[in-house]
Amino acid sequence: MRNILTITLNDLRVFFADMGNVAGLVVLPVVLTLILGIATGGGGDNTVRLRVDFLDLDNTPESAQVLESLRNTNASLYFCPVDDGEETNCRLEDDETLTLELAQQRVRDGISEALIVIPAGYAEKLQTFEPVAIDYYSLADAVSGDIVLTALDAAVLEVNGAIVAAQVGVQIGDNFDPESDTPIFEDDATRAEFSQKVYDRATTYLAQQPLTIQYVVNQEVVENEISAATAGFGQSVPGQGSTFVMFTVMGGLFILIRERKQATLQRLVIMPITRAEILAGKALTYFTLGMIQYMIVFIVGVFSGMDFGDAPFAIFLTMVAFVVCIAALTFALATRISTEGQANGVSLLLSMTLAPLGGAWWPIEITPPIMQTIAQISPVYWAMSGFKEVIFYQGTLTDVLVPVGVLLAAAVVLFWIGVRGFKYG
Amino acid sequence: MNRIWTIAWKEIFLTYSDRSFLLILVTPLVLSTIIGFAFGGLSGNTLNIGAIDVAIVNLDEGTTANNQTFNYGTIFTDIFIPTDSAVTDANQCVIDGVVQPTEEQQPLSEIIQAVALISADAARAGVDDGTYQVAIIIPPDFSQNLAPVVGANIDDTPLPKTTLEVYASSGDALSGDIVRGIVAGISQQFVTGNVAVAATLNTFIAESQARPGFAVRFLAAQAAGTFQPDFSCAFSDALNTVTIQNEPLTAIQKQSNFVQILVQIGSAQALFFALFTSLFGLLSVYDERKNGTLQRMMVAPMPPSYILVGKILGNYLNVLLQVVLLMLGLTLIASLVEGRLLFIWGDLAWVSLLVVVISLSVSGVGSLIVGFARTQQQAQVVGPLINSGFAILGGAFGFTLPAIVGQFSPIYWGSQAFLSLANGNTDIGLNLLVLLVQGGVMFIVGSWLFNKRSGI
Repeated sequence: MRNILTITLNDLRVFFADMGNVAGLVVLPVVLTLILGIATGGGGDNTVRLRVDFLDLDNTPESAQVLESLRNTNASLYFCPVDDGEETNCRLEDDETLTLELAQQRVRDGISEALIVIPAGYAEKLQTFEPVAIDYYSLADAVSGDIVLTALDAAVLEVNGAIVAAQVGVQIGDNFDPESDTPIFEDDATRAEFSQKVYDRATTYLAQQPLTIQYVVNQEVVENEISAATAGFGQSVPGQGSTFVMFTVMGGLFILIRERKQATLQRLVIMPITRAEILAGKALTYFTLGMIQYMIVFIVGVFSGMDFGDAPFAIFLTMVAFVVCIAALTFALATRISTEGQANGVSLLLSMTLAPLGGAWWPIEITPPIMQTIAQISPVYWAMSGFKEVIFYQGTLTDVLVPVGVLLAAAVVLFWIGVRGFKYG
Repeated sequence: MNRIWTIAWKEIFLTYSDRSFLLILVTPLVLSTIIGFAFGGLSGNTLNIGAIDVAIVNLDEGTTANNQTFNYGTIFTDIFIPTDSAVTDANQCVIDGVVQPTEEQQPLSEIIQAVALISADAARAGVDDGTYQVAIIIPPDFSQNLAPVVGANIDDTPLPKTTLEVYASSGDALSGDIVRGIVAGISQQFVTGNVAVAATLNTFIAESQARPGFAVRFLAAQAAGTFQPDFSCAFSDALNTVTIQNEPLTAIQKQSNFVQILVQIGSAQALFFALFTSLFGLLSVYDERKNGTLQRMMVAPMPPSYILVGKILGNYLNVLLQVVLLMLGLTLIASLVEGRLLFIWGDLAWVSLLVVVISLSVSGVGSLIVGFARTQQQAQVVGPLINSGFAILGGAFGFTLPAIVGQFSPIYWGSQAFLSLANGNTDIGLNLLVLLVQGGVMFIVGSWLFNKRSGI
């Protein structure tokens, strides 16, 4: 055991003697964890108002109703040119008129978040119950989502509600008394007037929003800002931690090849220690570095106000299992790799693909089912399952046994491959 | 000139004959494909993610109107957990004997897998422990407060309100958002139906009050039982007339989500990995000195500046070739996934110009890092950190930062230019200028420093 510790301590001393290694272990993991945590909900300014171009080619009370519904749906949006002011600057020149082409270009140039166009004849089509489309332009992509479209969807639902009411009202008026030959509406004007009254009444009722949806996210109490931190950092801390553990531990591959090339390994072999002790010493080095890397990233979570759940030992066990598995993978790869270039390439390839594949960079739930199935080949998937059980789902030690078991089973197989084929010279 | 080319060619040969370089070429392609598939199912008309486990708790006590008892909570639950065909028939809108077509939607069963529970606390606990992803809790007053309020002179009376609860997990915010959107759509149909009933009947009553003739007929029809209004259409989306037309603003928006992501992330990834090629390509001078190759070149009958220029030119061409290969690789992946030959990058002449300029910028970064670093080891540590920083700022990892921060990265300017060209927009003058100035300055300063460090 003493020999093992001596090898480990020596390797760690060499590693930490280089300030560059220390920087690599701390700077990028911390920066990336913070950026991702903040970007996915762990902070930032939620009061930013978004500029949306609203081109009303109809200029009727009905088209104005769409705008009103949009305002009710999402107060963070402001609409140009109607809302142009000091705090809601539309970035239009004094004599500039917002045309369709200009508005489209503004969205392309990122000046406006989106463009909504109410077509000419909108109100007329509503009154005659003809289909009418509101044109929507945006550069929002699948990755970033589209909150303007969500608001427009809700506004259109409301507008359609009043239209449906008016249509149903007229339809019922038409069939008012099937046994009578005299229609209830004397002429088309009376019919249209009745329709308008039902429409206006429905609009008034809908504006009162008789049904609201209370959206509650567990651990998220509005008054408590810590909740948002858990949502953002709950993904980024274990995710980036696992990613950088892979970088750090698999970086050992490069060191192993270099030691072999510089004959350091061969020198160890001729010393009075067993080969098992040499391997155990190296494995302990990578294990220690991996755990240090996890600790650094998790400390970011602590300072960000993240809630780690009630089972710290379950989190620790998941960390241990993952680091052991990656250390074993490193040894297994070392049997097949002979140059430093290959070591760099392989560790980069595996770290950069297994991490996102396994759900380290984004929640695995957002990916298609087939991706979620493929993800299970990545050790990161099992580590993230364990972490999420504890952090988000009040999991205990029992809940992480399956992911930990899978990781340890994989570690046994990989160690067996690594130890069996390990080349000392 | 031949000698410079020979040295440059040697650089290219050494880089591309190294089998491990294949991994540097493969990694960005694999990573971009993973990101493309991961986010490709997030928008559009159908959601391509696994079914969301939902618990529904119906606490609705129902209500009675016109001697009829009804429970909207039960109808709501049946939409998520269909029990028989009666529910779907109930939503049909028939006008003059013709069933009106409704908007074609992705079946709810493909998105949601729901179970009914009787306790709200149990449902919330189920979400907390991960058994369910989302819980929907229908309140006891749901039907009572949603039911149409009909009567004379009630327009000024505020309508009763009810609240549906959607309870989600902070560990799976996306599922919560999706279910909230679905619940909003379905519940709006309930609201619309009841509002239509109330607005119609109250208009009839108001008309009766205003016009005696109308009142006589209305009362007579009611008394005779011939006034049998059919409000089924009010609870269906068949009569919705207003739709949203999502207009493509750029050429790339006409492509699938996968292709859009591949252009955006793939170009950024290509540049990110090209930064490594530039860095490690120039760092090889240290190994050459160690192995004596550099000294041998120095004693060859040619000015030492040839060695420097050849080395830097070789490094530039390495980067250029790598960017071209990665773009071809991404084009191939897009074509394979889409099942048709697809060139995803836009105008070839502009793309070529951009590749030439961006390669200068990328190799400039490498020169600068190697030039500034005092030792090979220092460059090996600091270089990847700087490269990764540029990648984060430039949006290479699937998330974007505000432009004001991103603009510090050549990856930002490069990937934005690639995106513009893919969109059919050749207005990339500013991007080219920034890359040219940024890259040119780094290239010149870096080459000068590199010359000093390498001792050529």
